[in-house]
Amino acid sequence: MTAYGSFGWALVLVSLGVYCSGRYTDSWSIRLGIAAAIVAATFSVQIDQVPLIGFVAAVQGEPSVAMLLISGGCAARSILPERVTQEDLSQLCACIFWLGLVMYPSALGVGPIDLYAVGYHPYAALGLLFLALLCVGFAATRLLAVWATLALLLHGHDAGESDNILDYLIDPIVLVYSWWHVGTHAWRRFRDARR
Amino acid sequence: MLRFISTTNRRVPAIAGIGVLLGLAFPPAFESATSYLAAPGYRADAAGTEADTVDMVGTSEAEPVWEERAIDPGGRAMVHSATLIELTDGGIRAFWYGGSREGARDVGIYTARLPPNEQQWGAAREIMNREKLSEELGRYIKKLGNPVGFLDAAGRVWVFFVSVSFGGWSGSAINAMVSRDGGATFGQVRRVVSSPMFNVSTLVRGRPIQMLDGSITLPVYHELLGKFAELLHLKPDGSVQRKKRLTRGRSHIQPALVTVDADTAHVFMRYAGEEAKRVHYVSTNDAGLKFTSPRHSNLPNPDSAIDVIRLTSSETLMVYNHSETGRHNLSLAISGRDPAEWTRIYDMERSETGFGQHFSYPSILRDSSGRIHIAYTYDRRYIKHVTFNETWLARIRRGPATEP
Repeated sequence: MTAYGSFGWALVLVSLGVYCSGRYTDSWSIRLGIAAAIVAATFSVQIDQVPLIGFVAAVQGEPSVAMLLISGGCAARSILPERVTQEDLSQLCACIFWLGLVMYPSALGVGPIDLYAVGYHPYAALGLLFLALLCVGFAATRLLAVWATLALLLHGHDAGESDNILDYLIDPIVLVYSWWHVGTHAWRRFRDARR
Repeated sequence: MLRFISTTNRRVPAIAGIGVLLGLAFPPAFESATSYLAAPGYRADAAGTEADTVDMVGTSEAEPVWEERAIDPGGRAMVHSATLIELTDGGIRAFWYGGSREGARDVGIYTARLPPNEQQWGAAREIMNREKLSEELGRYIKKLGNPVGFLDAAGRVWVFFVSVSFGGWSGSAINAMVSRDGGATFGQVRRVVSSPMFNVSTLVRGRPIQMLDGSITLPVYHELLGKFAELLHLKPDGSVQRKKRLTRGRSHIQPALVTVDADTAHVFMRYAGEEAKRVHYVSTNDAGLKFTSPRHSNLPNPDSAIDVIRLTSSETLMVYNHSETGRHNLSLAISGRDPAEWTRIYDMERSETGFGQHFSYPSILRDSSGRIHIAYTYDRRYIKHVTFNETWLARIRRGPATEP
């Protein structure tokens, strides 16, 4: 696993620890202690001479930037709700939802084009650069700009195992989360509209 | 309007800042973008075409040569999926996987060396197992398989192989390791990421091809839901530069790439479908930018691996199972300029007990002296190595297809 992978997973685990423990206690020292214990256990406890993080990485090699932002965003919202809004997260999930809905089936052989292969193309990075600039300049959300910019920087510096920029943008785990997020959001809107 | 302009002006520094930051961070992307649109072409010697100028009939060796050897299975009950490379000193190195059974936790990747001008293979040596790979990659590994050897233009020995963390072979991912001393020692294993779905279901079996710019074209295939062939273009450092899908559907796996010239190549594939049980192929005339749709040749294929090599500028040699039903024989066939038309010239193996024996996963190599080497799984008990020369081949071509 690369340094990015180890650091990324540690960040995701800390964020989840802080977020989940926030439901049971307001004490910052306890919440950080729980998060630290989760990280320490995941990286040190071994089964069959493989640390627990090795089983996580066996499924999803490294977290995508989207996973870092969503887990970090959820943790940050529990601390500073005004800095990361629900709208920010919803827009990010909507982008992941649509990107994943198109890309994953095509990578599995559905349709004539493999959209994942486009991510190896250097022009994909240029397109994403344009998207990041567009988000920063004219679109509504900062999180989308951070998402595209971080993915570009990490890909440009070969931080992770993958040479495909799409692997830095999304992964199947955040895709499932985004489906759940978008689905529940749509259901709420539908329910409210019927009332 | 004024409010919009005011808001926009506030964002200009941010846009400029992020633009400068990203512009500085990505000169490699801009640089490689320009070279991406043109394919570099296939190296002529990569597929044995350096012998194009050699007449096939008895120029290098006057006497026909046919030699058979067994490669030491390293004490393992099951061995499978051998691959051959010629080393810079003229020796031959084989890679295969072996263990108590296919997919077992004790399966390792093995290698052995046949020194130049010697008749006996050296002892088998394990170069990778699941514990070592788990440690190097920092993740759980369940099983290993399908090693593919390759000697690049810089004299480095590459070994690509698949590993599975969960599930069956369709959950495979490709790994690569490089040796700078002819396969004696290997460096750190690199994970080749080629799929967005947890990087699973890309497998390797066919021999890579060296490109003119130093990059490598690696034939791979996908097995989860769909079964289709792909090409991965790797930079000299092993990073993925490009991916090209060759087929669609659920029928084509284990592509074997053979080049004709710098721009022309054919990719022959194992057929895993139900209808036309033939060896299928696709072709390119622009060094892999575009390929034809799949067509079938006149050779049968019982859903088993094949391998091909260029003999001359106009002829290709294939080793394959001449059957639609099983792997109980192994044959040689030659094709001219039409990749659809093949002539079976020789049966290397034919099971004495009908369908009881299996001869599979052949790997073919033409060495610098012009001799042809074929390694294949013999009943999963050992790897058999056959060597013959052009004189033998010319003699065989004059007669009917027979057993040795």
